[in-house]
Amino acid sequence: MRDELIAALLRVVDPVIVLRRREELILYEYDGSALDQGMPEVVVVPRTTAEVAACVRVAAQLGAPIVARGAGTGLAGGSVPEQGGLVISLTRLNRILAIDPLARTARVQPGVINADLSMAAAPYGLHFAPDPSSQRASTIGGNIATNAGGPHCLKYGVTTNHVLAATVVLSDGRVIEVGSAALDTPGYDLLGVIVGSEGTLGIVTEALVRLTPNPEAIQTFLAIYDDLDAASATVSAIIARGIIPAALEMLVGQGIAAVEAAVHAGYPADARAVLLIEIDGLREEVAAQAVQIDALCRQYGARELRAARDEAQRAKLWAGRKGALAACARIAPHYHIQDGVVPRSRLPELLRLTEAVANRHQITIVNIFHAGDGNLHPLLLFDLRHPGALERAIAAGEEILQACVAAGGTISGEHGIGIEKRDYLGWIFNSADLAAFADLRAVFDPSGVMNPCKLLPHGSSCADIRYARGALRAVDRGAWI
Amino acid sequence: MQRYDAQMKTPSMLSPTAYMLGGKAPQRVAQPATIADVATIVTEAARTQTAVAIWGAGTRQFVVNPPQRYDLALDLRCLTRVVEYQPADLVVTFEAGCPLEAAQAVLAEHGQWLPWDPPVSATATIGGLLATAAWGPLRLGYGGPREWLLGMQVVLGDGRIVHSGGRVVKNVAGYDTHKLHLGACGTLGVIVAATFKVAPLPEYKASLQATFPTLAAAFQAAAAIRQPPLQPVALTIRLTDAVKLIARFAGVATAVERQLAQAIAICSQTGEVTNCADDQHLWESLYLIPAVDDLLLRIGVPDDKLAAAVEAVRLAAPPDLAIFPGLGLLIARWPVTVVDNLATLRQTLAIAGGYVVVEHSPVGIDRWGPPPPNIDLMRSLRQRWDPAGILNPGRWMVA
Repeated sequence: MRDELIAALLRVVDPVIVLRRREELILYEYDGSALDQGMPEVVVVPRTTAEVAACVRVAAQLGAPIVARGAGTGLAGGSVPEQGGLVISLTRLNRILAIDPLARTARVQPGVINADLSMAAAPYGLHFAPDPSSQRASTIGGNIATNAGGPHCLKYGVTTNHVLAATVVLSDGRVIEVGSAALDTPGYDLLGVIVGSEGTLGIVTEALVRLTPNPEAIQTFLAIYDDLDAASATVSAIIARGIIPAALEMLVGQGIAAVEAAVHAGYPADARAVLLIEIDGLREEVAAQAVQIDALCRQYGARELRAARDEAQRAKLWAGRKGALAACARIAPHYHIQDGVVPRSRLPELLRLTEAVANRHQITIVNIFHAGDGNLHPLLLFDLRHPGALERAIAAGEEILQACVAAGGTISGEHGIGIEKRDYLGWIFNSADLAAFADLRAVFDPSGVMNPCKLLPHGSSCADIRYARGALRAVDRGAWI
Repeated sequence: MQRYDAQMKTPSMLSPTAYMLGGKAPQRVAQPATIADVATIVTEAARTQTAVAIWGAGTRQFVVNPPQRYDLALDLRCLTRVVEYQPADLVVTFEAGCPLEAAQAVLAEHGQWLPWDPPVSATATIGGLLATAAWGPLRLGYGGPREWLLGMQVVLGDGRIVHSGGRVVKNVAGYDTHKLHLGACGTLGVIVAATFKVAPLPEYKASLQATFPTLAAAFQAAAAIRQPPLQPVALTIRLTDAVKLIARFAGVATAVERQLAQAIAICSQTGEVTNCADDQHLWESLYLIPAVDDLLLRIGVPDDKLAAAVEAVRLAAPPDLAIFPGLGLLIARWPVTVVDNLATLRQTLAIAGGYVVVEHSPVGIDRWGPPPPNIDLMRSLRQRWDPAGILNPGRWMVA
């Protein structure tokens, strides 16, 4: 099968884009998730939509699994070729094709790095609003595949709110356009289901995305707490008061000290919890919200509220937040991360529960997360060399996710389902829901070759899988939450 | 948990003649009281090949064709529960038969709203407005319903009750299939409930109205009013024999006042500011309601082609337009006498990446123009979710 696939690819595309030596392939056997690995049979690095289409056509004809991949920063195994087959790396399709400052849009190839797009748009006073913590590495294509979020999605919405159109290669090699620069084109909103489909419906090879004007004013605060409940109650109170900050992030416990040791941004290492609160908009709005937030933080028991002195300090605070996952390697060498979401009024109880779960399973859990969205990121830290540690981490993670679902929430806010959460989907969707999802998938990919067995649970989209969980990796290899 | 069960008024059962479409009355009317009842009715309809037209308040039935076959009117106006509303979470779930205006009243009690202002009467239901992807001027500042929709419950054409999305503001589990039902005109399933995130009501809103000597001057002012730091939440140019611009700002009072002052200064350079108030009826005066004999066109182009699109429309018919700068959308009202100019207009706009949809027509007409190249995927999807083809048959482009 492998030789046949390689031979067929070499017949239709330039051999320089076909990677097939073991030392080349080994780079593509994992993503940013901790639990999943799989060796591809062959990897292609196409330079055009036509090359992507040619590779897809060949692999589909042979029935080989096709896995699209951006920067490999995904946290759910979505780009891991667990069944072998073909990995299509889109990192060479990395050009910003056009920025239109009047229309406030950019036309980009999928391999463009998220932060590079915002940097390119900066001279026009614009930026790309989705800002996953991985933004210095992750690609727009990957952001689209996972419907990525980020701290500022609290106010500005997630990736799906910022994509206007996409060029998509389907499993038969056909190239279609979904969405449009014109709003509300007649027909079903196919773009709406392509975004977040984790490479199971097709491969995006070009996208038209919205750019957002930079705010007139920004104010960033660090609220410091000696009590966890006080911090989470503040978050619930801010939202309940109808204040939607640009970002409202929370760091809890040992994570604070780890972040401070890594970046020296002024996070107080002795605090029980801190909130990183950013407000932006017109200067009058920012001034008014600053007063309200100050009052709420104090009312709910903040020890101290500090405002970022200048842009440099603001940047440091954010560097600390966005580098938090890597910083936690200082605590333990291995991690398992969850991405559950709860209604924002339920945050205090979920954080208490997380602590109880950590104690019961004797595992360190650090929570560094998008509190304003109710999007938890319990980071379960352990040392694989201790027997039973992995099993305890998985059990603890499941228990927290189940509590999120019981509170009316969901199993993933932004990381995606991929491999890691596919078997939890039944917790929130019944068999009719899942069958309708499978129907949709079959419309786009009748032969079932596009990232097979991902995103939906066993049995709903996948007859037979050859899958074994790979060995765990160490934390500090460049991963972000 | 707070509940508002049955707080909204439910209509009484009406006779089939109250559900006429294209001169046809259905054989019968069903007015289910629960989502389970909807599923039972649709399952039975699929089994017996009964053609179903889905009804809310009927305020936008005209945006699609009359049904080819019409056996059953499925009236959802008894599905009026506020399924769940947690004001502290800024999330709400309504059943599809809730009128949007009644829903807004529920939210307003808690100082919240759904910034969604389609130009329809107070009876229009959430389900019908979602099915027809209705939008209003506030779309400029707040996005359309797609941006606020978190999840949906739907009865598919084979009777399956399914849901997608969730009741939290951030969720990537499963496919976002609710987006497919938005604007599908009931051809994939019957929307029975929808979950939205909601927003705090702005502290202050204010609008200005100005008249301009030329359309070009109005466009120029509109572009200037959209330059940061100005952030109008709504902006419309109404073009008849006169040229009128209306802009709205919302938020903290001092910020609104500053923006309003700047916008007045901009408009005063070439136009005359005639009114300045927080005045919903300014906006209602913009609504283009088609008379029986009128065509109503919805036209979309990439926003930078909007002025060119307006020129093309002006060549085809006497000007009666609502133009939405920043959205690339415009609504045109035409006398039916110029209907033959539609084909040429479609060709001109297609070159610019635009389209024309006929939202209201007194005559049988091609409402959507040439089908998109991926219509086969759309048909195949409908085939899977409504295999018997009973939902709104013949009424929409993919049915």
